[in-house]
Amino acid sequence: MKKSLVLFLVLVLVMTMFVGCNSEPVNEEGNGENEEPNGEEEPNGEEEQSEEDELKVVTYNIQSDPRSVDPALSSTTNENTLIVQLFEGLTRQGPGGVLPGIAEEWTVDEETNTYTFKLRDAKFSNGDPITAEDFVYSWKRVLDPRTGSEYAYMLYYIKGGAALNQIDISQDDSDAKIEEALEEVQVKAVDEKTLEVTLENLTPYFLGLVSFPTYHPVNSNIVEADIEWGSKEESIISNGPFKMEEWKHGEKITVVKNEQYWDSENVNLDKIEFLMVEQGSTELTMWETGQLDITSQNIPVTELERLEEEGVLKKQAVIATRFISINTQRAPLDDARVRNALSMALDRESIVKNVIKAGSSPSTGYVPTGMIDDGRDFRDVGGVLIEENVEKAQELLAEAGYPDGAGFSGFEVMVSSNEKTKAIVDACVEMWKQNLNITNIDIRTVESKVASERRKSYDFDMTFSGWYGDYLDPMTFLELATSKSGQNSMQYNNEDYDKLIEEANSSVDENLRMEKMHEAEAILMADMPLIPINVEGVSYLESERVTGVYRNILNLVDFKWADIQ
Amino acid sequence: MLKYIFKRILIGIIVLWLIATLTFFLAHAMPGGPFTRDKALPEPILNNLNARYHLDDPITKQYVDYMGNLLRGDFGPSFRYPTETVNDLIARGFPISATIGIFALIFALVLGIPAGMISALNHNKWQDGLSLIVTTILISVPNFIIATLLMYVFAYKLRWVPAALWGTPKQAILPIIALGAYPLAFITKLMRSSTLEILGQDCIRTSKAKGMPKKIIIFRHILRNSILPVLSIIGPITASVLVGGLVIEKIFAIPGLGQHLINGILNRDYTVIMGLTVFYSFMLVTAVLITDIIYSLVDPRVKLTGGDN
Repeated sequence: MKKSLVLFLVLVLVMTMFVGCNSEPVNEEGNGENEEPNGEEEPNGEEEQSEEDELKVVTYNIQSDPRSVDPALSSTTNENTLIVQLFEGLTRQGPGGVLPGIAEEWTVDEETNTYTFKLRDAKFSNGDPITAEDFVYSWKRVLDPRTGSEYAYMLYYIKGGAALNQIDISQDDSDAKIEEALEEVQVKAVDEKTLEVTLENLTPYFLGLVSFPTYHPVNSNIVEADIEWGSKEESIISNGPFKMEEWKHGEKITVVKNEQYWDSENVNLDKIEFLMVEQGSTELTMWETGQLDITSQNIPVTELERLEEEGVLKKQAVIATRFISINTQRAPLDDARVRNALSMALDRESIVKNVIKAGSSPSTGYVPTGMIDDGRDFRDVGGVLIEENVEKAQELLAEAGYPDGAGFSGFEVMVSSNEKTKAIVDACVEMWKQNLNITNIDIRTVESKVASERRKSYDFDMTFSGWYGDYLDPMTFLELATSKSGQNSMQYNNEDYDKLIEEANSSVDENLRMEKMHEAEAILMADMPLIPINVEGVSYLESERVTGVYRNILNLVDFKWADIQ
Repeated sequence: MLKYIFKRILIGIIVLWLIATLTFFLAHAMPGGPFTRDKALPEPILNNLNARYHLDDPITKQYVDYMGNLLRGDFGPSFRYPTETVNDLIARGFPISATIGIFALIFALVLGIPAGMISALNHNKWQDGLSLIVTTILISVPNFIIATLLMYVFAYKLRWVPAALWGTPKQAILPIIALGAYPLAFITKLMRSSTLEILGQDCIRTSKAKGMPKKIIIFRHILRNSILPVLSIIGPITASVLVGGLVIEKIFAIPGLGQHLINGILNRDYTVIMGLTVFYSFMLVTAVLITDIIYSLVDPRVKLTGGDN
């Protein structure tokens, strides 16, 4: 009995393999349709003829499952990319700059810092009209501390916004305080189509700001019905060029053209499929075999050169600076001369060319290129604030008490497990070794959450970090180094710097504001609590059949005007 | 027999409880929590989130609460994706991971058992040499390298199959082979050595001397005996397939259970970590139990109650 039983069982299992091959998990994927699903099938050939003749579909990789598409809760670039397709704010960034979105036109009263927006006749994807009250509701919701919006600070420009958002919810009387503060937020619906908002200060970049997801309107009926509406396929009602069709968690999000969108006649694509491929090498292979139209910016560094030689690599400059973050309370790094020596001993050109590659350029200051100062680039006006001079570096180090590196007590570099950063760290440490004769630098790789925890508790000497600008103004960078910034892991505390930033923020005169910011940056670069290395650029791949994808230096990816050839 | 099974199930439950407890405290001991971010969250928001998920309760209370829910089969909601319960994640991901795992095992058994036997029957001839080379390679090369190589050759260069994702039979081929490679090699080698051992036994020589046809000797006597060691390692091999599946799924972007475990750990998603660990352990404990039972059925010499053999 036994032997034949076992063999029989094995044979049965083998049989099921062949049976299974015909009716496999394909059912799960909804393959009951007559056509084969796009983007996951064999490349080219069959699928292109049957479906593509009728539908224009683009596949894009957002790398992982978003937590939610609720604009108030967005926290990652990938989530933002998805939200931008689904929603639209008062304005929309596009070819030409800041374009009218839900708002047709606007006026500014410079005396009172009040903006008045005239809304057009627009609807949510379920047919509900979009009113000024929707914006009031949405913005107040973001600022309400109970919502837990991570980007609420983007609305602090609104008068009363910061005061509301900073109420401590763990206190017993917080609910009452919040109700009061909600009334004090200076945004109101004058009538159904007129929105009025008063800002704390002159904010020349406000029109660009309101295009950002945190300022997008949400449908109050939907939100009140279910607080988790943004994570459920059936309850996602939006107002942008596309609307949610299907959300296969961990696998794919499908959005389709939103016929209720006010400008839907200018939207060419019928469908976008957002895939979730985490592995850069897999994503690359999928692109090369036609399974993916557009990659994320996660291409393995080792492949960049080859792709560039093949002429397919696309680059995009972004307003982002990679810098070395130094804990200014830790000796021997608490001495500005040491920090400056470290900065001067680096050869940024070499690092960019040989290690980073991907579309970046050496930093000449903290604020990257791409921001406007009276018609010129802020960076050009500010000039070169970073010096590279090995001799001078050695002199400074000697002055600080460590001639030729002697007696230098060393420090530890905390690196978050990330291949790209590691190579840059290695390069810098090597340069310090060679140019300054500092040999006792430890590199410690830790897991990313551990790194975040240690950074939060200032339990590190030096770490490699960076900052992507949230909006198109130098302030997004300079704010980081103020003593009360939550992102100031350098523990940098300079009264003069803080004062200049405050003055810049409260300036009514744009020129004066720029001047203050330049002054502040100069102070920062003299103290060097952070050592800028390079202006970031990103690389990606785009299939030739896709055209019209709008990208800008805020690393926005917008498919509204995209098309298939 | 029944008494034995009952006893084993009881032990299995205790083992699971131990694993759950250990995992719970280890997971919470990791620095950082579900709401630790690179761009640090403002304090009041962080506090509120921690309060909402009872992460500020004393650890023992959290443990008791969790175990209570566990007994009811409720793994809780994911921290990172609060609209999903861990049960949802398992229901979605397990069928896919199981499919890859089972077929990888079948692949390994169906190819490995004959390969091992052929190797042994042709001891020191070219079949044996070839099998030794191939199995050594498959055992030494990590499965993610095999996966990437397969993807490069068959998807990228030859375009015979799609590179990644899941849903059609063609997309299943590479992951199954990549995952089954190590078990295949292992089973082949095991089968080979156990067959060689059987071949040397007297009963086989006697059969040959008696003039029994080769085929009958092979299938009735040799196979039945030499397959026993292979049956006994199905438990541990299942473990390696479960774990190996994590990497394979990541490389082929397959929405199985593995991604949830990996991301759960990276995100400090305690409920996901706990739920999946307990689930995987349950699978493993069950696999070992079933293996033992089958073994006792197949080999009459084995008495599970640990009698006189």
